[in-house]
Amino acid sequence: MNNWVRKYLRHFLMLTPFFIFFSIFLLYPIFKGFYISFFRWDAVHPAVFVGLDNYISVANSSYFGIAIFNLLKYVSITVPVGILLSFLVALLVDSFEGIPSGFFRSTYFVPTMIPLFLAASVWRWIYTPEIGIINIVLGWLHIPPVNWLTDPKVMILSLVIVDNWRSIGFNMVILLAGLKNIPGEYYDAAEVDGANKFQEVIYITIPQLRPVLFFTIAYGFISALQVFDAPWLMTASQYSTYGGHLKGLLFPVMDMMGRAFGNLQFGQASAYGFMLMLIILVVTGILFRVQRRLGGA
Amino acid sequence: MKRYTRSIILILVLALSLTACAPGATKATAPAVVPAQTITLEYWVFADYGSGEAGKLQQTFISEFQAANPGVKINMSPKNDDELTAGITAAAASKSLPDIYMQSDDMGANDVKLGALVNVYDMWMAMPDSYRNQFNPAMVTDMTPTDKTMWGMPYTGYSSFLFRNLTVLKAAGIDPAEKVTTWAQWLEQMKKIKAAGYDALPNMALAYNDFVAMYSGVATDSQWGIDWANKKTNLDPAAYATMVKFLMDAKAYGTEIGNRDQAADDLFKSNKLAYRISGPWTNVTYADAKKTSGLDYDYVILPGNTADNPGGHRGDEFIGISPYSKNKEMAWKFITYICDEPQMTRWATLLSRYNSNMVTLSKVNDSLLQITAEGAKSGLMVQPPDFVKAYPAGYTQAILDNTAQIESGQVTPEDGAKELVDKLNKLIQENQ
Repeated sequence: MNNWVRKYLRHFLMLTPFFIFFSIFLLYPIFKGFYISFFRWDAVHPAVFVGLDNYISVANSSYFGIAIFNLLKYVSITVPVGILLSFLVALLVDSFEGIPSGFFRSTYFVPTMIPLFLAASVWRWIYTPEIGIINIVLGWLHIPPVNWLTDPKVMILSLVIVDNWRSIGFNMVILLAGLKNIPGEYYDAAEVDGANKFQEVIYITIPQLRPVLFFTIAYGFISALQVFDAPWLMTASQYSTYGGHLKGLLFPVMDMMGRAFGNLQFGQASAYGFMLMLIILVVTGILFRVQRRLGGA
Repeated sequence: MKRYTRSIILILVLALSLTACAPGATKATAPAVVPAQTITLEYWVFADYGSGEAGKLQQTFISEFQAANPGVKINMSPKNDDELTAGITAAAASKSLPDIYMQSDDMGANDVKLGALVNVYDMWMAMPDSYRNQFNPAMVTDMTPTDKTMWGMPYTGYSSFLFRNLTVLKAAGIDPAEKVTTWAQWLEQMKKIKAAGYDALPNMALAYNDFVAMYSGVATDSQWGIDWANKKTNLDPAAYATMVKFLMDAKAYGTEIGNRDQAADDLFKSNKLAYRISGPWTNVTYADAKKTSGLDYDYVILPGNTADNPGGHRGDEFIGISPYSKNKEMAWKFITYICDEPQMTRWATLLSRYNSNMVTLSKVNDSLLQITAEGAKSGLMVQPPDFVKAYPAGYTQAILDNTAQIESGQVTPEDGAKELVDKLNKLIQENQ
């Protein structure tokens, strides 16, 4: 024991500041949030223990069902579409060399750097009924205008477009780094064996890129499950009214915020947060399992 | 091991030496010279009241007050609506509320629930009659939900009315002087506007306040808000159904763009949209457009279903004091200073904004102020009754969703109205 202490004490002392801040700013809020989820609490008056009531109230509310349904719809579209587009863009940019490569890499990355409130304002303009640029183009093609932000049938699609417009650049940069690490000899050998470009992508690029692809997919799922800011801004939501027309863009985090700050139901908001965390854990667990199986294969 | 022990002791000694250099140590040897009367008041204001010309005038009031009260310092912080709501909640939880803050009356019940407001009744009653008589009795009553309880000083207010693009009206063959007081007459004008190739009205069913402005044209005060004692909504299903039918009729002559969208504003300014429903704040940009691009417009009271019940919504804003403030008397003194007639008159003259001071309103001859006052007489409040109880979660959204369901043909106006009343009553009862 003495040897162990002598060997590692310094290291632990050096890590102490990190553990202090980690405990204060991460662990404490998590445990406190979990604790609050069993209380009725308006942030000011003494909390009243209500057992599982908050979880039951949230699960029984019509908003929860709609928010989860919207979330599943959104995640199942945005993540695969986003990864596929990012991958294709990364392949395209990777095929360039020199100045064009730098130009396209920067161009695709620009939307990621634009502040979201600004991007949402721009997209609200683009989606404007009748006079928005998309509807003007549709008009030229004799297609009737679409109410992108008020028609519940297309509202999720509007969000998916904005989301992918923003995230493709970020994912592209990560995938590009992975692509650069694939040894060129593999492609040379495949070429000698008579493989075409498509076969090279299927049999060399994707298997070699698997760890990076897994990261982008997992990150994409986790981000998408917590979607909040873009739909909040696109629907001009407030704490009292949120989710847009017929709740077409209502998502769990928005409902959580509305319950907390619109109605001072912090216990319910905490319960909501933990239910969402559970969903994220399950999805991430499934992803890891799939990755492990594929890795094993 | 000895080496490590020595290192740790050395670090501790160094740390102790450093703490000796901390400000606390300096204070012990050389006490700071602090004026005995120094009072700092934190003052949160609406973002538009704390910036631009309004912000400069607020700062002038602060400077005047500070000059008259040496040792007092007031820090003004502008906050937008959501920031104010979340900020007050968080600050109330941590007992770090600003000494003085502005807020909308419809958020008053939330603030009371949070214990974020001082009951100023005694301080108010201690003011001379000549001071108290300046204020609009209805606005004072609104701040006083129960006997001997007053949650702040009524400050400003607003109402919504109809901005008309006269170029569009004339192009549609409509004489702007022709008075429109009922929805039927208004629809006739809308038909002409659409026939001339313009849009009449933006979508009024996307935002809660727009809904209130329209519903006001068919309902009275008793047909709106929540009856907390009997745990039911006051919304009248027949009046509601009539309003939704009107909105559906008007939709045929209007645009899908929401009334509050920037796009609606731009369509109006570029002579493509005939009407916009908004409050006095909108006039700033239209007056500017009049100067720069020749926008020809005016504003009139919003028509109602019948001529005797015009539309439009109204709301008030107040200034409250934090229960945690250590300087409540000074905070009250400042509030009574800025709400006094000379300051309110300067405020109303600069911004043409309606306020609680009736002496000011009688002095300032301004058409925008007059129409706001006129609109406030007939307009419904946003979430009445104020300062009683916070509206249940989903209440306002339920109304908008129901309107949308009727508009999209999922349900008839009559059935939708019945469903809505049932849903609102359920929400109220669950909230008890």
